[in-house]
Amino acid sequence: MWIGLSLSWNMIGGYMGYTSFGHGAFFGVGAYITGILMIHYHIPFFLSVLLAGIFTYIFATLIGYPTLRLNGAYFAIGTWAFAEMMRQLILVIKITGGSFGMRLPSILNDFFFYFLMVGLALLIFLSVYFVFEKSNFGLKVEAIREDEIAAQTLGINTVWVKNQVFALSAFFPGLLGGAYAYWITYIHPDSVFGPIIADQMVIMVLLGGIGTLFGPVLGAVLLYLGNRIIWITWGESSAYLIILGLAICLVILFLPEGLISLGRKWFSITRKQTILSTHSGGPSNEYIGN
Amino acid sequence: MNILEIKNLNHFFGGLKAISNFNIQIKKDTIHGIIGPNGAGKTTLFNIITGLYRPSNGEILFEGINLIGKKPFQISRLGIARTFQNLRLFNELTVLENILIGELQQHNHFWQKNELNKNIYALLEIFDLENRANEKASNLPYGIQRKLEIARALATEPKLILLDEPAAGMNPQEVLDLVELIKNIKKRFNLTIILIEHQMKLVEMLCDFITVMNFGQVIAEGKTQDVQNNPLVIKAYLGEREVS
Repeated sequence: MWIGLSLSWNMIGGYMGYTSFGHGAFFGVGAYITGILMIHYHIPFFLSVLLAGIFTYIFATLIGYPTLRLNGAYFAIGTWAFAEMMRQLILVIKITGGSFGMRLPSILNDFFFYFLMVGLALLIFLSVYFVFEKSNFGLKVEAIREDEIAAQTLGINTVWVKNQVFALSAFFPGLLGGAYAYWITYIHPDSVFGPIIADQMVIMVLLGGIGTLFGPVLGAVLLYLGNRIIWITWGESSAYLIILGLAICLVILFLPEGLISLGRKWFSITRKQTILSTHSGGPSNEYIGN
Repeated sequence: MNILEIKNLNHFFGGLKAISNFNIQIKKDTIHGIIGPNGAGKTTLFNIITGLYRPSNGEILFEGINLIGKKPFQISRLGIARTFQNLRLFNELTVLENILIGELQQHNHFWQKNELNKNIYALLEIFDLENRANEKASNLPYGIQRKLEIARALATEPKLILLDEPAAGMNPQEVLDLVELIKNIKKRFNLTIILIEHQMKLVEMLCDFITVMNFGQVIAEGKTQDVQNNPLVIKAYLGEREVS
């Protein structure tokens, strides 16, 4: 689940360079929509999750329109405020159960959820690979990250591209949120809208390597394993947060491109080289001797 | 025939009149220089033509189409490309990717292709960038970054290209090379060029027509030689002699 979330955040934060602190909200929206559809309308699980994803996509398009006009720190604050707004909204409206949370019908099948989550993470990974690494759309997204004004004057419809990326990077957390809700069977605004979800997505990407294909995967695995190990060793304590904070400081100071940049020295799995190798077929070999 | 025509253009920044009652006609297949002291409104004019600013009022006709109210990407797709005074390259991307992004609007396939387009080869060759195709744009020397920006603009296959101080920061030899390069691309791609420049030598060598701006207004225009001797122009550049 965390791999999927960090991959989704990397779409907007890494490839497009827009730091969003509101992506936890899309996870929460996905979870609640799935809950509402299953409880109140008795729609089967898979359909509910899919509908939740689609709704999150449309919802994000609408949210993206005003927020994507901001950039830098203002965008981060804007999306954070939006996420907080959603949490408060869920706490007061009736259909979500307010502060009592929501209980979903439970099936106790860990295998099912294990494979569901792995499947979703794989789906997201492949989407990132094809949409952001292999397509011209990905190139446009990177152009926006590097220089938005130049991108506009080169004929890129930046408003549309930004909105699509934002919506896509919300669609997947929507799906994951739905699956999570059914798995945990009890959702509460604080558990699915809490800042820990949004923040961990960001931190995992930074730790692993921002704007790379494998970075978020690595970051998510390491952070989650670290979390478990500390939990097993010391039990419930705040030591995890302290160690986490230290680790992030060290990575940002000494490895600003994330842990994945260590691997680059040994393996050729960098983003640049994958892109170049697509151009090295045929006559271009003369020029591009990589 | 005029490719670009601007009529009664005004643009205000708050109370400051950056462009005031501005008129210009750009003939097809010419190089038109725009000169003037710093702050005369030259770059503002470029920003208005390319749609980055929306002018307070006026009319801009490009091949008979009014550009006002159009978004920058729409204007680019009509066939106007530009470079920037302060470089705006995609620094973390390679030279090749920079040019490919320019080319996208002409050949928009969803997937990246395995083989490079003929135009891209031609551009790499003209700009002498073949050996640097895989280098990051930010690692290039300054003069070459300037060339890359022109190459990227050309990749959009424009009819009109706006060059904002293309020779800024170049040494005399590089300026001479640039003059040759601009002549070369003009012929090869059938371009009309508008160029802002402070180095008079380059303007003399390249431009067919010149418009001189000061305080957002046209103070002189015409053939290059005529304008150079215009007393108003000399005054704007050098100031008036003190009355003794």
